Amino acid sequence: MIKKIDPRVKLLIVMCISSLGLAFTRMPMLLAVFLTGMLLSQVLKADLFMLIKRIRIILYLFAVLVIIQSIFVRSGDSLINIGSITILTTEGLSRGLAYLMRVLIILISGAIIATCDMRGLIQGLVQMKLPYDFAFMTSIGIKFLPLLMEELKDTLTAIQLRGIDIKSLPLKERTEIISYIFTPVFAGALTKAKKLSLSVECRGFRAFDKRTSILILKFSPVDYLAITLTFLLTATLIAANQYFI
Amino acid sequence: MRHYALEAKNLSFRYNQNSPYILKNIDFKLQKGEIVGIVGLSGSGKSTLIQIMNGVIPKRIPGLLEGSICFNGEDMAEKDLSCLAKEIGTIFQDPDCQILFPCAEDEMAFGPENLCYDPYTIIERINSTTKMLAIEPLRYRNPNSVSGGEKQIIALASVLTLNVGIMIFDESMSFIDERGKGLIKNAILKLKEQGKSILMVEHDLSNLEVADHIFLLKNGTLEAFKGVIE
Repeated sequence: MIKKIDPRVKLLIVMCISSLGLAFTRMPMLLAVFLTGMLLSQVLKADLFMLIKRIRIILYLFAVLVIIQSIFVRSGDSLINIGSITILTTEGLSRGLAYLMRVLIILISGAIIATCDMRGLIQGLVQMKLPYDFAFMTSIGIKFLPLLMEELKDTLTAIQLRGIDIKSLPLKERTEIISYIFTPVFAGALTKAKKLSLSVECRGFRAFDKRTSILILKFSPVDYLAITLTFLLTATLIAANQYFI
Repeated sequence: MRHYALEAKNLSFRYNQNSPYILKNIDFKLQKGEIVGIVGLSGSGKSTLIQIMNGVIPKRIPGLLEGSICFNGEDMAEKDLSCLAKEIGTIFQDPDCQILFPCAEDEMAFGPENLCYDPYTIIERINSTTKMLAIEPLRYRNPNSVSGGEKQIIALASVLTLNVGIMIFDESMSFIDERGKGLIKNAILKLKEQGKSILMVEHDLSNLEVADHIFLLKNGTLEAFKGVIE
């Protein structure tokens, strides 16, 4: 039953939790939004761990950003000092953790969206009056990410088959090799994109301003219940935030 | 007056004034219900010829096109690509560059939905196409989880639901195994029975065994194929 929830409801849930994540500034409230998001993602059977596994390289970047955020905020009481230099303050730590919470909330939102099938998501966006072209192009962009990764993996394998072990190279040479990889990878991706666009045009894409669809989304009683609960949860979190200020 | 499904008259093409001719004085006719094969080596101009036949050149890829090309007696130059989509379907070489959706049924519905056909008509077309190609078990499958041949059959089905009269196969058997080739060839013969006009362009002559006539494209000129490719 949960799997059958309308993609528009999932979009509403994502919109609510990500908006709250951006609007709230205090740590307890961000934690509350994060926990609510976690709960909803589990109810909607979102595979959060698979998402984290897929984007773990980007997560390192976020971790670095959290540390930078913490270190460069000078206000608040000092927590870690090296000699007379303050490394970390209470305010820095608080902002760093708030940043981390926001990133986690966005990840949860992504995991919830990933439970929608592509066709349902496009149709949901179209029925929410978003132009089809925009919805379609966004989903095609998502399709292209694995293709790009595949292209990258193939190019790396081709290089390794020529006897170059990238991992054992010094940083300077490794950077140089990676810069060589980007040209064929992006050229390959662009060629694929061009072929895809030709195929799509040959099947009448953008032939008319409007298009028909064999899939029409309709809200079920479960969807109405989910919408009501989402609004109630959002209102409760906003009220709690007001109360604690 | 007799109209051919596709007819090219004195067709020449080059990308700009300074580049050499890719195609030179091509005269070509495809009758209704006929399968014509064009064979040629890499760089002989096969893909360019396909792109002219389906209207991509010069409507999307610019170039200097001389001569004329007509479908069902109508000048192709006067039609836009979306209009041609109702008449001419193209199956490309790489199914991965054609398939968009993670469900074969959605893939088959994409074209007719673009052309604003009624949802009931679309469902009927999907039903008849899957039945004709005997791919009912693939209807709700993810095209990325099936074999190369089955993937190409899904790409073919997604063009067939447009109910076009002319089908162009652009080296569509290059990426698939013998079993997959068999599936495609059977489908082509069924399409011929239905009166569709089929143009197949291949670099491998063995893929053209279903063709009624074969032409050789060599150095940009088209000639009747008489035997062995040099």
